[in-house]
Amino acid sequence: MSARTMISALLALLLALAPSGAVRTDEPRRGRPNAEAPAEAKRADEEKSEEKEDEEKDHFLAITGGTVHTVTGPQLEGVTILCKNGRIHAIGREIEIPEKAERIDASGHHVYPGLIALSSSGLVGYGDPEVSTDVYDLELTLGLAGGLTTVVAGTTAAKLTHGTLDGLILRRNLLESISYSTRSPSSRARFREALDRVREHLRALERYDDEKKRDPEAKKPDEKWIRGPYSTAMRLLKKEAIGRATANDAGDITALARLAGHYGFRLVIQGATEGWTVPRELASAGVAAIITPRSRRDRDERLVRPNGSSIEMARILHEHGVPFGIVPPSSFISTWGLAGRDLLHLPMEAAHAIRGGLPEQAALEAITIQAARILGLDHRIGSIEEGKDADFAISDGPILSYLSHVRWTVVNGRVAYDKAKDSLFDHIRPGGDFDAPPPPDHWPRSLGEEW
Amino acid sequence: MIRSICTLLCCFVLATICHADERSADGRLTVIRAGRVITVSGETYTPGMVILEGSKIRLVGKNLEYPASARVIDAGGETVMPGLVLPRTRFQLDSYRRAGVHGAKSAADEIVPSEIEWEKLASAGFTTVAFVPAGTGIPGFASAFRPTRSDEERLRQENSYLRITMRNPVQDRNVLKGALEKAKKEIEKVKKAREEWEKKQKASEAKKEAEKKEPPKPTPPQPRPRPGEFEEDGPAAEPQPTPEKKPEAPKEPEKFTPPKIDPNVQPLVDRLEGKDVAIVFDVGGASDLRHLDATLELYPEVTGSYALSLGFYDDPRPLVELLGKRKALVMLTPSIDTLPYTVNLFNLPAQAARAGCRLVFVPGSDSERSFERLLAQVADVVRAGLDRDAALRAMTIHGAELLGLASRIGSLEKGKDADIVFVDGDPLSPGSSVTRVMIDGELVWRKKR
Repeated sequence: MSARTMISALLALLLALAPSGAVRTDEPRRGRPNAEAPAEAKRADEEKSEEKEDEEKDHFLAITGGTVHTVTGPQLEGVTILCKNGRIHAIGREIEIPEKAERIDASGHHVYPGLIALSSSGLVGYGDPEVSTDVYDLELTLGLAGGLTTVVAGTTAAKLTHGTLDGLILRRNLLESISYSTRSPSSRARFREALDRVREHLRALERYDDEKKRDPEAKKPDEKWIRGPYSTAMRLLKKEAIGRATANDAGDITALARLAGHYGFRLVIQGATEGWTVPRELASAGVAAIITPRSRRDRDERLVRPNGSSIEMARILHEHGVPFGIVPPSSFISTWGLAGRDLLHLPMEAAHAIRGGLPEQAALEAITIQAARILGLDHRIGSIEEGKDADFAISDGPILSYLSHVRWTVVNGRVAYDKAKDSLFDHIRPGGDFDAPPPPDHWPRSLGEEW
Repeated sequence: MIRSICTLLCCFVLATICHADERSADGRLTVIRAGRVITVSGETYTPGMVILEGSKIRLVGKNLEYPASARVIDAGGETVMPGLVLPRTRFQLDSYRRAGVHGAKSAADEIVPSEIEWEKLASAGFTTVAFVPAGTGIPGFASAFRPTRSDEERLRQENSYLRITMRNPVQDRNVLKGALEKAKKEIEKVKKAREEWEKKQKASEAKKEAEKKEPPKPTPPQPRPRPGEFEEDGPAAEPQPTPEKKPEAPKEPEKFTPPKIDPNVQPLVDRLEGKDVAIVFDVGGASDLRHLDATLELYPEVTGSYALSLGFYDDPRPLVELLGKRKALVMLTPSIDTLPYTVNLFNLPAQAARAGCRLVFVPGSDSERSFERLLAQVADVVRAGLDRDAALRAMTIHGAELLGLASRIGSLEKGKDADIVFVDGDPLSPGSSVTRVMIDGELVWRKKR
């Protein structure tokens, strides 16, 4: 009798363990659309199952020494960051580093969270990046050399996973493009009409849910018409996507901010050159901006109100509490001659905002955690915190300085770019130290003994 | 002591002669005497001899005894080596493109033998030539031919290897994924039908045992989808009746006839069921390989060799590393090119061999000039660091392996086909050229003096 109870107890235990084991099997972080479900719950699940998993399979990366800019927390000196299976596992002074862990000795370097490009072209593939990305592509590598780890391409947020497709997709269908300009009143009216109709539909759905409880034969509202602009409106109002609109005129910006405030959807305005003239409208509607601090727009002298661009734009938005991210003038890597205006120089663009009076910390946040918050991905990326993705840009000086070079870029706990191993910038001497010995394969390159 | 050795030797010689004589009764032996015999698979004999019996190789060695009746080909100081294998070509075929899944097609379908100048292939030393179907996705099977003189003997193997491209992942991934999913569905379909059949069989058996009466009527044999195309997996051969039923089966002529399978995914079905179907994946850069791996993630049974066609901006180094790790059979052009965006020369064949790949050489283009240049090109690559043996294997035995013909061709070994090339000097010396080509023991081409 006692043996039987023991067996049944064991069986029960096994059954209880089974589902948590199953979670692990599809967990390897291939950016499937479901990968970002309730973050906390999922993370807890993952940690539980990870503990059970064979220790041999775990991949560790330890970053020692270096000045760690956590962005959301204090600046830390002499700490170790231990990453496990692509996530930050522990940060601290006395951390036991597993023997087989990959190590980066970052002493004398600065460790930042991986930078985020809120708009990009050509770094990952077009359409669905998972099937079109060349993971060894030069532009992808150059993006990594610029410290980028996450880019938004089209409506998808993707990681620059050099050499592998694993974990490339961070989230699909993140954004919905909106066109709402004063120049086309009819399209504005159409979009408002779509929002109204969908909002009415959502209310009808709520009523239907209530009715169903009382009357099981209640008829569900028709959903066939929800296509095109209506589906955009639906996704916005259900908060499944973030609206993205390009606007530079103060009038357009105000109109958009009022629209978002009125209907209660999340909106980000790209450009926002005159945003500094209407910061209160933006702040009260909770609308974010993607700005280019260096962009110029001449003042129209016929207008009484302040207009045109301002170098102080970023500072003014910051002081009014408008969340903003920073992108360079070109969303490409190559600018065909206009050096310093492309995604290779994202930190330089943030430095331009500092020229306009933005605090340095806010400038750094604009290309890391603020960008992550705008995308709704701040539980995964944007700062150095335990449990977040192990994405780092490790530079040989403060990253906002024009003198600094990225030395390593880490994506999902893997070293995706190493300046010393990649021939791109290997020949550039840090701090103009021309006495340093040239790298072994420096120009003029030898052609090998046989040649 | 010496005397005894001599007698022993005499006995041995006599014995071999007698033995050889016995054999020559049903066909004259042919003896090739050459300054050097490169067997590729084994030793190199300087000087050496190859003894042929009919269309097969009988002996390879240094000083071999042979009967006086044998026909002797004295190649003087020339080098003799196995016939070269051309693993991929569309020489003199129409250019067209087809996309999608065509597993039922092969290059042999489109070849009109009289329209191809076989002599041009033979003159470059090729004794086996694999024509491939053009296009993307799964364009079909490559077919191996022999550039012999008579049209009938040319086709050596219709379905050599299935070509699958992964050059443009956006399209090719979907095609391959769709084909594999379909193949899996077809397997399920056959399995289901079989289970149903077994159930019926059991029911009828039970019935029969109860009644013990009339024999069941035989089902008509099902026509094969394409004669000669899938010989090994006709309806009779595929899912055979379960072995435990066999002993009591003889009275029962009723057999399980599986439902028809789409012939275009048949090779993938075979592969998923563990049958031997050679596959060559056409990949561009390393990224294509990653996309291929991602597509085949759920199908570990589907493996194959790789044909590289690197783009101008593709870095070959990660590709070499990845392929070397899996000890892959890799088809590539023997050339030394610069690394993208640099002036650094990169000996791709040498690096690939060093990383662990087994190479198969293919000329740079499908022209007579390019075929003739192959030996010289390989010589260049060897001079720049590729292992000499690896280079020789890449032109012969590895090509045979890629085509699934390694047991018949590719080296000078006992029992293999007598496909032999004569070269006036070292084959890997730029000045050398092919002088004679023998296929199945017959000289098919001779250099004009």
